[in-house]
Amino acid sequence: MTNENEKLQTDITQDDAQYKSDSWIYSDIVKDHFFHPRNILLNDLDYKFDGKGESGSAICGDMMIVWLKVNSETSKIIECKWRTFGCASAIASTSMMSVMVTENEGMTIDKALNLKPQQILERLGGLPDIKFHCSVMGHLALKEAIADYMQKNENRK
Amino acid sequence: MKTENNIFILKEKIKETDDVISLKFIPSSGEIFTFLPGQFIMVSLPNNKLPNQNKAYTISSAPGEKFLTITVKKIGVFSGALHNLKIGDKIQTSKPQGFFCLNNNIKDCIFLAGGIGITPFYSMIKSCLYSSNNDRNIYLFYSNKTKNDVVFWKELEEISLRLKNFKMIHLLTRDKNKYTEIKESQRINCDILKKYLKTLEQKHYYICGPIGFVNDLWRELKNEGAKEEEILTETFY
Repeated sequence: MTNENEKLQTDITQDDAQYKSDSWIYSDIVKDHFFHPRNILLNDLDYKFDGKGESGSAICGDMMIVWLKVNSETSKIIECKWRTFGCASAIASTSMMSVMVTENEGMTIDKALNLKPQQILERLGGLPDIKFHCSVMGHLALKEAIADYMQKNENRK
Repeated sequence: MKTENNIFILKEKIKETDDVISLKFIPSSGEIFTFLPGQFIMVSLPNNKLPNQNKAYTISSAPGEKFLTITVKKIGVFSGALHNLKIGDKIQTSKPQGFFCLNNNIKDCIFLAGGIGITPFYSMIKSCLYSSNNDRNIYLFYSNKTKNDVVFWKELEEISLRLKNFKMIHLLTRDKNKYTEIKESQRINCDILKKYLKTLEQKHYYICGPIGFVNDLWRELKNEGAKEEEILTETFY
């Protein structure tokens, strides 16, 4: 059993280092974000947001909602909250995405519109190819939220 | 008037390759919705065929064309059901979605297509052809296993004769040295790109294809110094 654990640990370390996508082992970073998701919003009843986006569909198995607060003067994302009816990979990748768009005083919405699943996976230390679509859900909802913000901003002008 | 509820009726089925067909639809009422070349729609089948399921398909027609067309590779239950649709059958679609689209300010576009990943580029290239003032330089690198797998071969050849500043490079990974018009017999990589583009700088890269294809090319381009904002990706999964 100990040997097996050591082997798993080795696999995880290699996965982190090489960003291999053909492994079925989750990286430590993925596990951390799954067990301790950042910026999750469980109750949105009183949450004030500037843009909201959804992707997927609960009846299909996965659903994602992303809420954004944007500084209208700098066009930078100052808060990115999310909630999903999805798997470990969807939770981890959206958690990481929410960190990436808000760290370092926030990402501009132009830059966030071109945030790619590959960038999120790189920060996560990779995901198995078979779980790739899970990482796409969050970033699709993010783009919808940005589009919603831009539409509202346009209407206010 | 735009079509209500986005219900479309199948008018034509075209066999593109052994496992790829194009399905041409007209709206059940009104006109086809406005969309940008490169966008996709979520397709579902009404009438209790595969209830509660929908899948994303890129629109392979260009804005202004008579039909709304999707080009479908048979890889699973849902795409199999689409292949089995009969003329007159209906589908329901979402509004057009996605941001894998041409930016107006981009001059040099490098399209990197793997297999059925050609569909958004086909729509973009046709829209450039229809545009009266297209001054973009477009390079299409189109990778397939064999010549029989190439979707839109003839159509793209015709467009290449009519659209100025459009160059197409086919890459066949399993048909080595069989055709004189095929100059490359390996997967797309940065060495191939440099051979045709001279420099990789000051260009915008659009990558679409299977996950491994997109991830590998994105990483390779980044390693070669391409900026993140100069790369757009779309993949099938």
